[in-house]
Amino acid sequence: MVDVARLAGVSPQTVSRVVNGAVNVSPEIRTRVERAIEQLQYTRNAAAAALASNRTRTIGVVSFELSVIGPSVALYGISEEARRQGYATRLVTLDSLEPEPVRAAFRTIGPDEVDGIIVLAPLEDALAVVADMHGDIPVLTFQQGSPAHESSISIDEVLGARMAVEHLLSLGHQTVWHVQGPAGWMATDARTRGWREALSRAGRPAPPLLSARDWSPDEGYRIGRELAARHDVTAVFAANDHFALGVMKAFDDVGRHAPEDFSIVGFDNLRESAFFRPALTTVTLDFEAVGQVAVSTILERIGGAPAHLIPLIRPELVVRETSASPRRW
Amino acid sequence: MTEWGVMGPPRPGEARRPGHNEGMAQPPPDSVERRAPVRERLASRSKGPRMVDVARLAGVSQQTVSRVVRGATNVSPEIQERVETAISQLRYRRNPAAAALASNRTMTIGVVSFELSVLGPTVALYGISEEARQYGYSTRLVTLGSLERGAIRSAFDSVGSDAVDGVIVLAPLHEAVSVLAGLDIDVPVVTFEQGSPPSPTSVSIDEIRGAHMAVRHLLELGHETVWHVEGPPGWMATTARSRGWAEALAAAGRVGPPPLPTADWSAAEGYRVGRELARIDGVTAVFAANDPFALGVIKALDEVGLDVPGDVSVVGFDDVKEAPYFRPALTTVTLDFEAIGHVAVSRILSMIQGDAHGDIPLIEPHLVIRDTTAPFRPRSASGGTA
Repeated sequence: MVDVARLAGVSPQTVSRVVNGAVNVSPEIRTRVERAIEQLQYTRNAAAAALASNRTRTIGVVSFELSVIGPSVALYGISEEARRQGYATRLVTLDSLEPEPVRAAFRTIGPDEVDGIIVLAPLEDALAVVADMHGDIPVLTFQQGSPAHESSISIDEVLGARMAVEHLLSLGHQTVWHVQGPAGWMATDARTRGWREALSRAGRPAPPLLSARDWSPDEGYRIGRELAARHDVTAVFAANDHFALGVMKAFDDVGRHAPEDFSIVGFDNLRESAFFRPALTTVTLDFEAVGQVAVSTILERIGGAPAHLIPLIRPELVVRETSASPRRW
Repeated sequence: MTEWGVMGPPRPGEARRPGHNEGMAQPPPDSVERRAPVRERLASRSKGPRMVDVARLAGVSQQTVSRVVRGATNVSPEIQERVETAISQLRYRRNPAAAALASNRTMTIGVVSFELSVLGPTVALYGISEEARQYGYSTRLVTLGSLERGAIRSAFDSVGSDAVDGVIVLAPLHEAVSVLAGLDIDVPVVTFEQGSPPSPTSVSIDEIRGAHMAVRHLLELGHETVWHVEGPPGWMATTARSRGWAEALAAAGRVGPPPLPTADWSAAEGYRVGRELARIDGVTAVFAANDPFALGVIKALDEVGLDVPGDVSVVGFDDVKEAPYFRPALTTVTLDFEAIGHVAVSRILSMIQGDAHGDIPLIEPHLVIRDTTAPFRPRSASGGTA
């Protein structure tokens, strides 16, 4: 910029004013600066370019724990759909859900460098902070188990959990135990709520909840050992497929096998779940669709379309080999 | 209007000030458009202390504050200290867009990826975004729709060489890497490769060696030879794992059976190939190019009554989180894809600063022996358990 200023014989502030399209510059000065810019092939960096045009053709993504299946598959869906629409994706991961780090992530992503933001952090704390921020670009959040809303995309996981539990009850199980996800995740609450609702609708008592500390198969195995030690467990609804895998291993260790000795239903329908031994009965959640819907919706909003309710994405029960009627004792 | 300000929310006790940013034009007093031009939004945004406030407190000009903030050397130590004291007293923070304008740093790392649904690149992306964040960088991601030269060129254009300080390419495919070599790119580029020799600009896992380990383990158990479920064509991982397998067999003087090709990296493909393997007499050891393949192979063998590891030993590759919980727990090779992300970011940051030296050492894989491998036992002619 200094070089442009020197060549044009003006101050850098004047160059900046011209570049920024300010009106308080005389036409002659403007022409001189523009000619100097052309001669020097001065390209402003992106920040400068973004300052001058209102479209960045970039969608910001704020995420937490990309190692968790839902957000990571949704990110894949977002990046693919964004590419098809000619958009790049700007990604920032959160390391904490305290208000200040979340706000800092929004600053890092630079509201001036994106046309809209998708928040892939389906955790109560993160969404509480986001809800308090009011920007002038569209923000969509990925949620799990929330009612349809105009600024959130959600899978109806309460319904999914009900389907899993109702399936087990319909096979003749008296009740269903639940391996619950880690605290703070919307998925955890939604799946627990669906489990509880299905049991109470059927008039069955809910056994005590067993809570995992993270979403890993290790936690499924740890809790599975507790379950396998009890003789009254005939049916388990695991909050994800990884838990189900760990639970089955723990039952295996004590010589109890699905579906002869107990039934289990997972949640997610990983690509591998059909190849578990036995093949896992589970609930399909289409996280890739979440990403696609998020991008197409945010592009509509960027284009000025009026907000409308975003329909919930429906889960589907996939019955495979791990669920059967309880053995008659 | 409240918004996530570039400067952050006002702190207690701080008055909101009318907006002003260095070098930016003043906005009209009230911009009522739904989406005002960016410069106006930016200018109307600052709520924290401004550079002019720092200058006033330090008793210097704004240009001097700017020089200190940018780390310029032509400022006397006393002035520098005065400015720094004023900055910390006022808790002044620079507007990133203005900072980027001033320093030509975008504080953004570009990532060009292909097929984020494949495990390696996805986990590496996670490592990159985590590491980048710790250095105050955000990540700009573009996925490739195809490996055509034009598509890769336009991915680089859309990542924008003036929007990023460097680019990490997470597309470990032969075609991508060769197209890339022919492109003229004016920012530092680090590529993620698999099975390549060490280089100053590529991060690679020594997957040839990982495949050696898997095959040697099976041969040491007494298996005559080892069958290979090969990855899909085009991927560097496919070539590296296949080459390690062939080399280890040749080194032991064994005849390699033809590798069994696949169309993608899914468990479904492993299952399809597993059914072929189940029909071939004399298969006692299988090296699968990834863990989902191994899962599918074991499922297919199980369906025809072949026991793993009683009849057939199987080794996977990757060591996914679930591998210890497969039935039986999977013997496999651990690849630390997250480390790839960390190493790639630290190299690109040194390249940006101009102090990168030497080759990036290869990341070493490890063999993890679990329950799917056992000593050779001849298979009965019927194909069932002997």
